[in-house]
Amino acid sequence: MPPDRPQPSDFLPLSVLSFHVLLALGGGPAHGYAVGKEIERRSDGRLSPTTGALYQALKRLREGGLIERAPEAEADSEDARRQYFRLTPLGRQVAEAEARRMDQLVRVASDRKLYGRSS
Amino acid sequence: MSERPTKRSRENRGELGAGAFWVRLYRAMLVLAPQSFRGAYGAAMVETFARRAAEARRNKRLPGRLFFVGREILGLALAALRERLPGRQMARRGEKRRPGERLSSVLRETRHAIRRLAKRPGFTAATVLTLGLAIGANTAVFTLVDSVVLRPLPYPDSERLVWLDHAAPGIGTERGLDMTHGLYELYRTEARSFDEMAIWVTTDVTLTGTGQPERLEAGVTTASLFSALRVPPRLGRTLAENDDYSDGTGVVVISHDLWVRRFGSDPKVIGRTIEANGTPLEIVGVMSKDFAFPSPETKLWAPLSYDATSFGSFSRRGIGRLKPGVTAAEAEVDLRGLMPGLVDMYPVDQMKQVIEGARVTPLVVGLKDHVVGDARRTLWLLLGSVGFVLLIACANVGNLFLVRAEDRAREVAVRAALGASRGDLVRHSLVESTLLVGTGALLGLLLARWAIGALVALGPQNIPRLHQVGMDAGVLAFTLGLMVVASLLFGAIPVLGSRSDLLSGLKEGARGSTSGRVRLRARTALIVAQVSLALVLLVGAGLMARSFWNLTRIDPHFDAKSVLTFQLGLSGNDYPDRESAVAFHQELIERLRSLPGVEAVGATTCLPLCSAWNGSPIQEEGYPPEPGEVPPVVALRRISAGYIEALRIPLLAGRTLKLSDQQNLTGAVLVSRALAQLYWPGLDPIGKRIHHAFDAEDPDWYTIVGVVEDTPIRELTEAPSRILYMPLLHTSGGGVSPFFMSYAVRTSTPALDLVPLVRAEVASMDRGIPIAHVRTLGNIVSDSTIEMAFTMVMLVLAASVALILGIVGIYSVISYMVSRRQGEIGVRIALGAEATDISHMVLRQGGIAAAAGLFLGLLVALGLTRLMTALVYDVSPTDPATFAGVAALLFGVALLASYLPARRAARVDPMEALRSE
Repeated sequence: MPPDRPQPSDFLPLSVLSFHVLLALGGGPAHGYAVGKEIERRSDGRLSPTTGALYQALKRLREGGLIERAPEAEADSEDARRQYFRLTPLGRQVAEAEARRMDQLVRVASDRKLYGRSS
Repeated sequence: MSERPTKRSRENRGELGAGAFWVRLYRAMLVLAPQSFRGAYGAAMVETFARRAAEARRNKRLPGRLFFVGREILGLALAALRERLPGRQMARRGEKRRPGERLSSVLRETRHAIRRLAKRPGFTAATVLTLGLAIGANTAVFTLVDSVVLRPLPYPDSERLVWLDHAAPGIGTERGLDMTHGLYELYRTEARSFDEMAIWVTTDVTLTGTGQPERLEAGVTTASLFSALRVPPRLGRTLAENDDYSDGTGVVVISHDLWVRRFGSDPKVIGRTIEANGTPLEIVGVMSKDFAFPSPETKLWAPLSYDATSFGSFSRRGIGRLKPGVTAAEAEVDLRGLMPGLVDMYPVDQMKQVIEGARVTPLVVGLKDHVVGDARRTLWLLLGSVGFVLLIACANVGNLFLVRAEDRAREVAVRAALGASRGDLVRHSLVESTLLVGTGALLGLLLARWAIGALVALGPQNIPRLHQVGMDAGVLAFTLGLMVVASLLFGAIPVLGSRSDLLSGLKEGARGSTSGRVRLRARTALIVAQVSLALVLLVGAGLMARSFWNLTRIDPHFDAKSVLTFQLGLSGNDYPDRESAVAFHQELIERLRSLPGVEAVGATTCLPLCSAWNGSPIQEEGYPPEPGEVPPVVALRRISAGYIEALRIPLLAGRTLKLSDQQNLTGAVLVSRALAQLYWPGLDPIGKRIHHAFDAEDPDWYTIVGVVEDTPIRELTEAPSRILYMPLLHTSGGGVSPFFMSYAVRTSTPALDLVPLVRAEVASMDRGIPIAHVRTLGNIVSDSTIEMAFTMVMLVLAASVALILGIVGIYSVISYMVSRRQGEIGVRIALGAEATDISHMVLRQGGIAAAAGLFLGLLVALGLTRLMTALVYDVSPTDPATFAGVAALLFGVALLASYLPARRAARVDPMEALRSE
């Protein structure tokens, strides 16, 4: 009997690093080094995962079916050791769900005057 | 999945240079992660790390780079740990997150510990530096031991490879007689214990053809060498069985290095021709980069051809590959059983006498044991020494932790009172010690890497397998092991110190309480341990220093100052006979003699300390050997006129050789003192005649015209060798030919300045002859003592560090004791104690601890120095003078280290001390 199809909401809330990885892959396939660079850039250097933590996150996301290897990008790579990853449709949905969840939180916060975006 | 590194990525890695070390380290550390994770992501992680490391090298200064590496390695270790914990899937709703939580509390603990340590920079720096030095030294020496002694040889099933050697008790030779091709034929056809067997001989050849002429070492070998070692070629093929019996010319296999240097790694090199000693050879194969047999200097391999019907001389080296399950001892029994059959194979009477009279006996030893040889003992001794240094360093750091534990007793007690469990306290303390030791270990790795480079560059080149030295996972595991043990040890100190009565920390005032006294006793025990360990190291260093001193005072009976030496070989094509070769040497000697600054020139087949024996049995006129008797074997040297003078070997009787001896074939020879004493003890050997034994074909009798002092053949410490010096040109030479000669040029100017002039002279006579092994005679002598010098320097270094750490340890403990007892001292002074009484009291405390350490150390040293018996020279391993001198030195230093705090104690102002109570 096949297991239930995982729902995007099953994965929420995402860890900060996982969410950032999904965001970094939102722009298309990328390899580990580039994902790390992108995360550092987006977070203004506040989030800078070590290589070990980064690949562990990639592994977990891949096992969860949120990302997958991108063999067509690997074929063009200059270094055969490089692995490229891309979002799966499920991954895209999870990222959207997480963003929505955060957006709701932000809205609640600003309703309670805890966040200074006066509407 | 294509995760194998491509050629291009390998080049990228090469560009990183020094960074490549960290990349290797990172790759090695991946073993921490589970196989599934490593297999899927390992290569990609290494690639990412390499790019980040390159980036860090470009953008960061050294501290930033070290921080980067430390963080990455910690990150890898944590990721590996997390992967090894169960339940590491993507967390879904409702699932437990326990392992992660536990981990995050460890991370929090780590952050707190870092903050705490940053507040105590003195303590942190002292701990990290001490441990870094000690761990670095241990890692460096362990790397040597691991690479040289422990790691198997780089051949498949290398434990089955054996070295074939022979003893000859009949002529007093215990080992080192090697092989002959006759024995090879016998063993190969009859022995049942071997899968393969090979013999070879190394020789210097002159390479001409493409590019500059060059002298290099060639292995002339049976084709079976490659199948015995089980090494495939990189290109083409290795030698084949039918190459063996061709005329010895034709084909050659070249080394990777030669292929790269002379042929620019040309993949189409197979089929091209090189000229060795004027003979064209077709290249049939290229070996891989790491193939270095018999030595890294061997640059080509050519087929060995020999007359299978003759017995041959003991000048071939041999190895064998044992059948699976056969031991070296069984193979030895097998070979010994074959010896009687030899006489039937080679029924030459005199040969029979040599075999039966000399009682040639096969010896089979593991190839690795043979290769590693005596270096094993030296390296283990060094590892033991740096191990002692580590123990002393641990004693010092333990001391620092004890002091800190005392300072923090209150904090610990408060935490316990607020409900921290014992487990919390242990973790708290362990995190701190692991951080400190871990940082020390990282620093140690860095130092070790640097030290290994220095050791390989400066250490004796006769340490075998030095070219293979490098850190690997085994070394990292060793360092990690040291780290874990040290962390647990130091982490336990504060907790053990606190014992069950945690609250005493709250009650304890400045006055020494019971637990304070316990700690003081612990610290005194540390002094005792440090002093005893330092004593053992100092005794070892002292014994080596005395040995080395004795060694440098040996008179080698020649004057090594300002003598230039070099070798050159004449090819058989251009110089077809001995006459033409000798004429060349004679002219070159004349030309060199006329160079400015040259005082004397001579040539010989083998300089002192050349290690070649070239032995031959000789007999005296009128005393033919009895049947079955083997006359004494002597070393043969051909020398030019002027050689004895150039080396300034003292002439004891008669005269030296003259040019006319050579031109008129007078048969005049010189003998060494040991040879003269053997044959004519107390008599005058001048005018006596001798003859090569068993050489009925050789009608020549030699007449002794002079006796010269003994010179060493292998090492300065050997027993005097019997040497026979013959003129360059003499029909019989016992196989010592005048084609390859070593020159000795004595100069009044710096010897090496002469090299360009010498090269020019040689080139002006024959452009095709390269000169090789250019060195001064002084270098040759100092190289022969380098192993002992190396051991001595390493031991002296270890002992110095031990001494310094010991002084620091004693000083800090006594100082601390004084500061803790200030109140008591104040009371004593107030009650009328003199300043000298106080300082004596403190000195006595240090003195008693040091004396106890000395006593213990002397006992240990007496037991351990016995292991050094084979390493020392002309000094007993229990030499009383060394023991007494070292003990006195150490005691004096210990007293001095206690004296400073003692003086301070004597100056305590009683009012001040009592007020602070």
